[in-house]
Parts: sequence; C-alpha cells; structure tokens
Amino acid sequence: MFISSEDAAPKFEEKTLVLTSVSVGNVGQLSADLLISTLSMKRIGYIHHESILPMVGNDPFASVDATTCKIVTSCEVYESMLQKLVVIQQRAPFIKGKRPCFRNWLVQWIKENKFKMVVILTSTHAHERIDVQLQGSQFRYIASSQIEEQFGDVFKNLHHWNMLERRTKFPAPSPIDQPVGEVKELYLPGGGIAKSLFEDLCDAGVPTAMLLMFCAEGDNVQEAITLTDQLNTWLKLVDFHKKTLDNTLMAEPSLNDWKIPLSWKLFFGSRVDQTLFH
Amino acid sequence: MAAYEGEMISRAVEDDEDEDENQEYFSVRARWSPLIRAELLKTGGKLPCKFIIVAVGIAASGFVKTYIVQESFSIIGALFTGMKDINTLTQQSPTEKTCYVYHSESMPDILAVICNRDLPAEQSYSFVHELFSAIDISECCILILAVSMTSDYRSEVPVSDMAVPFMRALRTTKYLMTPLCPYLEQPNIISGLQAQLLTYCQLHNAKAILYNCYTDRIDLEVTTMKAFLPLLKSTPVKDYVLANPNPKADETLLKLVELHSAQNMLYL
Repeated sequence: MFISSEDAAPKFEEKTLVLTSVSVGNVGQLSADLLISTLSMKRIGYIHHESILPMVGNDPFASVDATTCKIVTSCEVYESMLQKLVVIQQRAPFIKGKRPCFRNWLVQWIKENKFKMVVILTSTHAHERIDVQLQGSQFRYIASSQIEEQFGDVFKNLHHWNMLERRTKFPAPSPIDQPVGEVKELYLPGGGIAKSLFEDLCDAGVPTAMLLMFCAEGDNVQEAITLTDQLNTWLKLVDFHKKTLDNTLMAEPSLNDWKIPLSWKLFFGSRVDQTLFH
Repeated sequence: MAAYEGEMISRAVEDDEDEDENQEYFSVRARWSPLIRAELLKTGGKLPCKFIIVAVGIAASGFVKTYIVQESFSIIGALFTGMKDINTLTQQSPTEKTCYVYHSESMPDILAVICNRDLPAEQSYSFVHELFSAIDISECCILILAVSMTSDYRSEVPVSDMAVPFMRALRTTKYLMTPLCPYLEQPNIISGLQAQLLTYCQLHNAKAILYNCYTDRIDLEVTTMKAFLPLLKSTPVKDYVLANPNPKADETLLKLVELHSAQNMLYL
C-alpha cells in the first residue's frame, strides 16, 4: 500500500510517473537517484508491500557533511511539484514469487491516481543483443499506442531514438532459419518486471513508455547517465546550458551536470586496507 | 551494480520465473497466553505499551536475556516461524527459531521480544504485522538491537583501523532523543527483520531507534554482547527498565557462549 508522509493526501492527476525496474546493472534505479538528487525532489510517501524485501539506511540525498538521520526505506515515492513529476525509487529486490502480486497492486494504484503517463526505466542484458544492436546507440524505447501517437515523430525524427526491435526469444534463429510470419515479441532479458508491467499498463489503457539501456553488470554509472539524459531530452526536466544575457552570466547558477547522491559513495566497497600489502 | 570489483552478481531475475515458481513462505503466526488473549478482548485488540525492546540474533538476544529480561519478566506470547526447530518453549535451545514476547510482571506495558535466530527476510513482513497487530505502538518507544558483520560495513577508514565491535544507530522521524553512537553513514544499509521493524515504525509514526553492532566474529562471544552495555544507562532503557545489575551476568554470558559454540562447525 501507499502511505503518505504528508498531512494532506497527494494529488497525482496529470503528473508523469517514473518507475524504476530492478534490472541488470540497476540502471533504472541509478537513473532515478540522479533525477531525485538533481531536481531536489521531496519524499511524499512510502510503498509498503509484502513483495519487497526490507532495508533501511540514512538519507541517501543528504549533503556530504550532514550528521543528522533521516531514514530511507525500501520503496519510496518522490515528487517535484515544479516538474509535475513523481518518481518511485525501489532500493531492494522482490521476494521470489511475489512480483505478480506487486504488479497487480501497482497497476491498480496507477489507474486510481490517474497519472498522465508512466515512464518505466530499465535495462536489459547486453549479451543477448542481436546483430543490429551490437553497434551504435545502446539506448532503446518502447511506447504504448497513445505515447507513440503523441510523441512517435519526435522520438524518431527529432531525438533519433531507436525503438526496441521485436524478436523471437533466445535462442533466436538466424535470419535464414527464421520462420516466415512468426510473431515477434518484446524480449527483455534481465529487465525485471519492466516488460510485464509495460504490458499490464498498456492493457489497462495507461499511456506508458519504457526507456532502456543494453548493459552488463559492472560500473553502470555511465549507462544511468545516458538513460537520464535521454529522459531529460524528452521531458525537458533540467536545462544544463549556461544561460547568458548580453554575454554576462545570469544571476542564478545553472546546473552543469546531474548531481551524484551521497549513496553512490564507495560503490565497490571500502577502501582496500593498505596494510595487506606490507 | 557490482558490489565490489570482481563480484558480478545480477539482481535482475527474469520476470517469467515468477509465473512458474511456487515459492511458499510460511507466514509467521503469533500465539498469546490465555491472560493476554483475555486482555486483548478487553482492550479491543491491542495491548497498551510504553516500551518494547526487540533483540534480533543471538548476540542481541544474549544481551537482553542477561541484563534486562530477568526473573521479573514472563513469557506472554510466541511468534512461530514455521522453520524446523527444536522447540523448548523456554528458548533454551541454541537453535530455537521461535521468537518469544516477554513482559515485565511489575510493569506489564514494558515488553521484550527476543529472536534468537535471524529470520529469513521473506518472513519479516508477516512477523512484524503479527507482532504489532496485537500491540499499540502509538504511545510507545521501541528499541531494536541487532548485529552485523564488519565485512558488510563500508567506510573511508579501513575497518582494521576502527575499534571493533562498534555501534551505529538509525532512528525514525518521531524519535527525538540523541543516540549513544553515531548514525549509520551512507552508503551503508541494514536489511532483514530489524529493517522491517524500523520501517513499520517509521510508516506508523512511532518513536523507534535501531542500534546495530558491527562485529568481526562469526561466532557468539562476550565482547559483542557487552557492546550493548552503554544502553542500560541511557534513554530509553534507563527510563523504563529497572536494570538491576545482574551479579551473575558474566557467568550467564559465558554459558551462552558455550551453548552456542557447540553449533559452530568451523573447527570440527
């Protein structure tokens, strides 16, 4: 269930919802971290569901010298009133066997709250790419019919985005062996709940888009930045260009780059104890 | 993201797996004593409570059993986890997986919940809901004690340069008192039953604090249990619990270590 942390119940109508999927490299979640951190989004509630494993920690978006405690839990909802944007950040994986239960609840909650549209951020295994995907941009998108109608032209011609190629599952037959007329489908290995959630939302008539990156597990910061950049190109959330007025810089500082949150410290563990090498 | 260089574990599980798998996790069940059941009927379903101390794991449980839950406390309920178990109904077995709820006989609104063994995280949701469905935490202060390994602790300073065991705290928004030790720094997180307990308290606007002790020993030992000692003289414990100095404390702690060392297979 959604539990609000505000006094009044939040209103989500006409707002864009960004969902993250726990996927290979956690790219969607890293991307959400960048959005929340850069836009200084406010936590407005929690999602408490039996399907999500529990975790707690200190504030991941605190400043470096903060000494206070503001706990963070495994699934939280953030909002930017200015951008009319709502982000659900999930910090723990699902319990095996319970993801359909969560998906059903989430689709229902999205419908009840009448979001304008939903954007799912995810990633998929790079080792399952077909030949055409091996080179060029590793970014793909898929959109529901409503989004395709409204933005399809913009995606293809303005942003030069590639739609995710539909295909048969692994092991994919070679083009010669490909049976004629075989129905190709969305194939998103390592994408977590993204594919099923996208299909469920489309069936429910919710305008939905899915933005994804091909990647492998490792240092996935660059994929997260690329994914967030592409989202920003579309939704225009942050203007990174320095504005000048008569060749002088404007009074308010503009952002140069996505703001890395405190929780990204020590990604690969503590510093190695140098006494090991003595 | 890889947790550290060289470790490439993907948390991305295929969505299709969920449709095939028939994972069954035992829902934790609470059973209360007849007196408490009568009390629950009288109060309309929830026991009034001023202070609860929850110990998760053998070290935290050992501390609470030795210094807090003494003769003046009695068992009022149990939470059955469904795991195959030697059940002594008095938590004498080192592998006992049932968690017991105690109350102070002189002050029945002071409770202690002792979970000898770590519960699988998948059961933590049902555990917390079963426990708090019978306890009113709206006016309550909750203290959660747990232990983690230093290998899970990330910091700029190598752990070998730190005094081990050491404690870190996390509190809910409503808990306003100053903790005994520094707050847990990012990027460290806590998971499991202790995280589920603190999450529940945060979501229900309860005053709660979690003290997590980091140790480098996998077996139970006295130093880890004694790391929680400063809590006895500070808020909230000193406000609610008559922590009579237990003259047999050291003896009790050593007996606990002996009881659990038989389970340690490392040097067999």
